[in-house]
Amino acid sequence: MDLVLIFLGMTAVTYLTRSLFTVMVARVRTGPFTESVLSTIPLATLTALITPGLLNPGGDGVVILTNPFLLAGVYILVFSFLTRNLLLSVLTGIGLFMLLSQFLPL
Amino acid sequence: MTGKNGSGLWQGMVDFSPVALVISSYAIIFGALAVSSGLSVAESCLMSLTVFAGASQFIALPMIRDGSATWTLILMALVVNMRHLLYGLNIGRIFKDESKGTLMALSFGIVDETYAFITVGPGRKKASVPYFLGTVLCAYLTWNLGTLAGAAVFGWLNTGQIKGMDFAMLAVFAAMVGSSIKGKDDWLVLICAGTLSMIVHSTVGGYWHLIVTGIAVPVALSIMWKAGRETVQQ
Repeated sequence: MDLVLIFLGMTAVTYLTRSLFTVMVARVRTGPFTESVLSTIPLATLTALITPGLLNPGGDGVVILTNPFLLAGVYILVFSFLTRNLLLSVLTGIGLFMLLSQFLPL
Repeated sequence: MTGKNGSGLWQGMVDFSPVALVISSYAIIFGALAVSSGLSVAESCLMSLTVFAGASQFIALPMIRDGSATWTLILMALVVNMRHLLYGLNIGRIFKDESKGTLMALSFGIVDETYAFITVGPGRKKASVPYFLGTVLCAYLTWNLGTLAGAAVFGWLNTGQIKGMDFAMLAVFAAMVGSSIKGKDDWLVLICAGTLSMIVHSTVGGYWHLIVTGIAVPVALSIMWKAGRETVQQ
């Protein structure tokens, strides 16, 4: 029972974060500046989503430039930029990561 | 529902399947961890069916195991999922001509993967309601079937050690970011957002780097670009 309450509460607040601006922003008229800000949000947010995980996978604040997360992550960025092939980038990137983790500390 | 222009429900599911492959890997891990944290198989599945938000579900597991108060778990979900507010800004603009009811229904399907796919990923050129629903359906089915499989089959294993799994998630987002980059403006966003997110992540911690970066970088760069255009015009 307690768990059901937790799940429902988490579902409710999460749905609130998902729906609030989705519904609101559709009805607002925007100028070129607002459009520029809005169109930059995805790339900025998604870059923020991956950067700490690649640069500091251990989460201890120590950045090691030869860690497999960073090397394979940079490879995927460059490879997907050049080829625009999502699946091939991910699969070869994970392969490279597994290879590098054999030799380099995580 | 199957659009002739290649932007229907089925096409959305098919195009999203490489991402779903990666989702399935950490859905299985989630199911296994949930059971080893003391949830039953049914409870694990119920959580994925309702909450449908990976990061907050993973963080909730040790909290549930340690008997945290209900309100602390709900507050955690609110903070961790605050980034969806920003996602909503873009999803709302993409589907701005749709009815309020449609927008409210689509909102449930906004997760990191579907958002990235439809804004910077392969789906950005085909964005339509059925196409987005296809990606969401594919993500939802994968997340829930993966949870079930992980909970039912691997629940008895101690899966806390599988460190490399973190990389699969990073890999799919890195590929979507990389394949969306067009000009030097995009590289500038990448560098600024990467730097700022590291600073905020290592000082403030938590998930605040997503929100701070998602607001500060677009605003600052848009001001700079606007000033640049006005200088050129004069």
